[in-house]
Amino acid sequence: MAACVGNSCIPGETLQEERQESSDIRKVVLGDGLRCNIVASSEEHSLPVITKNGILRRRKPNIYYVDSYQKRYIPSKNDSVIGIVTTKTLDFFWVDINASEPAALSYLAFEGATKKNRPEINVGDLVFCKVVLAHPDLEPELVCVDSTGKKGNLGQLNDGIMFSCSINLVRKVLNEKCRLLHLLSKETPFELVAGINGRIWVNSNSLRKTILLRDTILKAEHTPYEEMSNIVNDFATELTGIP
Amino acid sequence: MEIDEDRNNKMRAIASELNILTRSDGSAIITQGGSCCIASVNGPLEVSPANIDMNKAYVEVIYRPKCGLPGVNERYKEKIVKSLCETCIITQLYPRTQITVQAQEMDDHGGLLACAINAVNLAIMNSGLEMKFHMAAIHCGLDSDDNLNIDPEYVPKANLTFSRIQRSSRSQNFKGNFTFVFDSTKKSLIGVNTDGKFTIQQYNEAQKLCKDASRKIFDFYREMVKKYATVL
Repeated sequence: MAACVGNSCIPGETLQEERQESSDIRKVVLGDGLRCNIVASSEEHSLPVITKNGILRRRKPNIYYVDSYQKRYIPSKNDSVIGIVTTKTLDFFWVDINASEPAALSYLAFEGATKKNRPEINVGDLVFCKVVLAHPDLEPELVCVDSTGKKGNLGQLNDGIMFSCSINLVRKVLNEKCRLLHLLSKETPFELVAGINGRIWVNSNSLRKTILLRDTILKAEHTPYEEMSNIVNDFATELTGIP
Repeated sequence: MEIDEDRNNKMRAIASELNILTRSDGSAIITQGGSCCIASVNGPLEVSPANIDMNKAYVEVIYRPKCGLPGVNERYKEKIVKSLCETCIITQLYPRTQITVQAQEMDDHGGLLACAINAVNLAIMNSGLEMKFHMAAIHCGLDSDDNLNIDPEYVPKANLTFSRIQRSSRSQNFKGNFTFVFDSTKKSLIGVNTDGKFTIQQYNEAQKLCKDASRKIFDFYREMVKKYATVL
């Protein structure tokens, strides 16, 4: 059986269509949910096989991936994640990033940190960081600086509230097609940090407003892109009651 | 999501819902006729040092009966479901981790093992773990007149009291019981569990009937994927 771009696909189906469609371009990039050679002893072994349930998507020129539902995070390089510091050891903070094991965050991976000048982070604090090492055989490694040593948007998250959601909701909120954040920012000023590991942090000038923002974002999970303005309108009417 | 009873195929109506438990990574409830089962999948999780495997994920299956403590029968079912899970999940992608699968019996009206396997498959599907294929389990009963019944509903005998129904196996009005599990790619047999008395011809006939019937369950899975993919 062969899967088609834009349609639902199930594990075990093969990706066949790129053969005819793009015979001139030889290189095909396989994203999430597609693998080669998982089943040995098969005449179709050279064709990529689908390993997830969802919708097969294609991004030009030749990137294929499966859009599927997921709650558990599997670390991957360059992802921006929100972590909770669980342990402090001599050289590392151990951070829970919703993956199978805690990730290591070095004391020195902060802006301006030296051996003498350690960052003031305690157990239970939230940190927004980037994954620099993600390999299934090793524990993930995080940093709170970019390659130039600046902290940029990364670092500790103070105040506000953090909530967990499905990874799809985070992807949806960050999607360019989704106008939710744009519409919400017209109603009230707020800060939002979305970690692709299924955690979102929001902050505004009052706690009730922050909670209302959280509820609106969670509501967006099962709302189609076109109907985002409806939930924002609901948010606006609720907001009028809050000083 | 429901599929109505088909008179020709004589399979019971199937209904299912995904993601019914908020805190697990993947969960599903399925009813096949009167039998009902909830399954939940968590993983990849941190694994205890005793069970760690450097090459693949360790799969743990917990099967819970409707009432009472799990016994030998439940352990046996756990073992069957565990080996099936290890076949259908690509465990090599998640080394040094653990995948916990839980199946909770809700109601038993025959074919509960098949119902539990189908529920576990839907829960794995919902959890986003990478799979090689889907699996579909079908129960078949051989009655005293040597007729094969695909996915039969258990009808309690009138003279049995409630407590006796509770204790007796729900498949006991058949002299032979088969549960076949098929994969979705080649429709080949990946698991089988039988009890009772039957001949090899009856076994082969039952396998053929179940293989035909498995198509309906695979169609059902596909519909579920399609339905739950609309909000992605």
